[in-house]
Amino acid sequence: MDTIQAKPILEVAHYQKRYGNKVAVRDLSLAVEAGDIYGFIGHNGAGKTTLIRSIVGVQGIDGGTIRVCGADVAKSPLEAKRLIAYVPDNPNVYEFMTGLQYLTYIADIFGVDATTRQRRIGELAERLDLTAALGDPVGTYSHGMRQKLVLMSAFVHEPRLLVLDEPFVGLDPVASHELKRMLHELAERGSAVFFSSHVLEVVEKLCNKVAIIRAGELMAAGPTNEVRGNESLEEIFLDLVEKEE
Amino acid sequence: MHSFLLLLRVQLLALANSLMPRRRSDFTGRSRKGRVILTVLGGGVLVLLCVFYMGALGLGLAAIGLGEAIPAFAVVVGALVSVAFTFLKANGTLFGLADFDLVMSLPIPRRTVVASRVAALYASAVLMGAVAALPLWVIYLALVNLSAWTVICCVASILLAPAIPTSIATFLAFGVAAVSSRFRHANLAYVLVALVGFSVLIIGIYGFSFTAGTQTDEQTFAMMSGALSGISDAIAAAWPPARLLVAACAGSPLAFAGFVSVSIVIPAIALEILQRGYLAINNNLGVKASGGLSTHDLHRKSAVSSSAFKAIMFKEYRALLGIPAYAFNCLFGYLLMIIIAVALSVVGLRDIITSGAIDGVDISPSLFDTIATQIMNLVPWLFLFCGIAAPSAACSLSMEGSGAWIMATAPVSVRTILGAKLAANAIPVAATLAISSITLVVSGQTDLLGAAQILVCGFGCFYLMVTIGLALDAHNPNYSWTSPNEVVKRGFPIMVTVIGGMLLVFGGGALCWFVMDAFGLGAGIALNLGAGVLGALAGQLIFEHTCRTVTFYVN
Repeated sequence: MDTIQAKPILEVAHYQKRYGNKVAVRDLSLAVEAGDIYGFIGHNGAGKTTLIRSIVGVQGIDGGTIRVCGADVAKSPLEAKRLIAYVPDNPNVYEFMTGLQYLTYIADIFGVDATTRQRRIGELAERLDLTAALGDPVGTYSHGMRQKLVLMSAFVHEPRLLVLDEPFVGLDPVASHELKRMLHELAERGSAVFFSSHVLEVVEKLCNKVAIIRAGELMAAGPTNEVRGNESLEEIFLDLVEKEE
Repeated sequence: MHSFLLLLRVQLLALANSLMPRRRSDFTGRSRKGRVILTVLGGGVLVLLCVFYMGALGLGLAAIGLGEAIPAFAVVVGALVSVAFTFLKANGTLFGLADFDLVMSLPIPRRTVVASRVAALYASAVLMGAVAALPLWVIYLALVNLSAWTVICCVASILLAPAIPTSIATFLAFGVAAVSSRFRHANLAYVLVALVGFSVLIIGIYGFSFTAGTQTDEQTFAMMSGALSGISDAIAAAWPPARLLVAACAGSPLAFAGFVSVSIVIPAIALEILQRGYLAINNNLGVKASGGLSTHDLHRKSAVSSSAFKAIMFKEYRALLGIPAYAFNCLFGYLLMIIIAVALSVVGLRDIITSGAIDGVDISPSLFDTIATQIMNLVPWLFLFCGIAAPSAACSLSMEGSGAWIMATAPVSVRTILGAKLAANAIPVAATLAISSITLVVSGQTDLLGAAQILVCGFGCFYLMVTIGLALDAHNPNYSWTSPNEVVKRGFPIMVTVIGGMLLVFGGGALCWFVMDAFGLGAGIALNLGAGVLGALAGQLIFEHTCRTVTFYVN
């Protein structure tokens, strides 16, 4: 356990990903420590989702390594996946299940015991105001409700690394506020959060660390205060992106 | 008018596109072309089958002196095709559409929008109705009544017969969609009703064939004549447009005018009602059923836990029962097994045999026993045929669809996932085969060896075919489908499983018959048992290989 604690929660080293002849991300390295809320920003097509999908094991990698608490996602995928929760940009889940069936399914998959899941599902449903709808088929849910459901399923197994792709899209202001609190609480419990977003104000306020990617290359990474200096994150982002163009 | 034509063109393209194979990123131009050709060929075969059956119906009616009723049948056939097509396509074309907000925000009158969508459904219904009704008209014009007037009636019928049914089916489809949106278990109810309907149809057809088989040709002919005459009378009574067209064909201009008038006026009224209530209708469909789960129920129901394997298995069952297209394509096999087992048990093999091809031939008891045993040794292949009609595992990877990321990020091995999917299919097939075998043993139709053949041969060969399908699906899944039919009907793995399975059934059955003829009954039994064991072993090897070589990535 001590050895796991000593390592970064997420360690990306010289990551590379190609789609055919096109290099989507080249030689990207970053580290996310326990307690971090790490923002990952970039323009459309910069490579944010590409890296995220490789971290969570939805796609392979073409170069470098990605480790989660020391577990190599390519060599020990199950070990790594046990520690990760993923919230994709499109919260597509099985429409033939009810919300509750989906949550218990995910709890079964991650081996969450009955007492723990009962407590966590109850708490999460109350916090995200989804209790009444959990008995309904997911097919009847709005985008925001699906987003809440996927967030609940991510939190139900208390991940060491929570990876989110545009998590605030579709959430109402109350749920959005609650999610920010939940992310902080998770980080305080020793886990780490890694998420992409286009909403720079949210990243600036929420994240203690940030990375900026442009055309598959890391432009800047580190503590948010250091990256932005005396300027706003938006100004830094635009400077970095436009400078290269 | 320009807006109407523009919208109509978009709708017709959308309908045509929905029938074509889906473009996938990994398809080369050649494979795409090949699939289009296959689709067109498949469609051509279906058209030919339809023409053949309708032509045979027309000839049959003419032969038994009901030629004058052919126009009524043509109208009804066209109407039924229109009803079926509109019923299936209205939800998504006319209402419950994904682009509702966009279309309604366009500077185009609502009447034009609705008319363009109804016209698209109507044009497609006319085309399909024509394929079904034209052979009947050709028979009528060729054998019964050819004149300029009847040709006019024919053209009017083909163009106008689908009009009223399209209107009715539109409202019917809306009603079903509206009820479904308020009923949480609508899909399950839909599946159950369809399965019951299918069973009734099978039993009805079987019952008719069996009854016919026990009678002389004259009695059968009389029975068919009576049935067709009854149907003809029922059509005339239940569907006035058909009665009007029959009268028109007999030379009544008044009836013709009546047919044309009702076929235009009723749809026009329906269109007006539809366009006036269009916003309300679509808003209505937005109202979804809600169970309103209480905190107490949530607390109670969330405490249930199981292993990952079992959870995936139950998820597969929920998918099967919750997606009607999946259920229709993969549940009938189970039903067929039960129906066949019950039919064999109730009617008895002796009666079935004597009602069939060897009807009227006087055979000795010993020869009959030999034939009966030989036929009984083919029954395992019949049950394999049914098992092949329940191949849910063969497309279960692709059925993950847009939710495939859940499986790809789950900390569960490939073996567990594939094993659970396979088990969710194989266990019910094995159980249904076992129930069928026991039923046949208890009813005295077979002995324990016969039951073992059904179980071993039926299951082993099924296992082989379904693991082939699963392997193909796992290596090249199609997660990007927009309709489950693309996977459960037109998917490559399911086609290989079903077509390959049919070849195995007919090939295995023929080989078994040959072996029994050449080497005796024992050889046939050995072949059946051997085929089952080999099939199961080969299937397991394929499964093991798939588990070792597959990685679940979502592109």
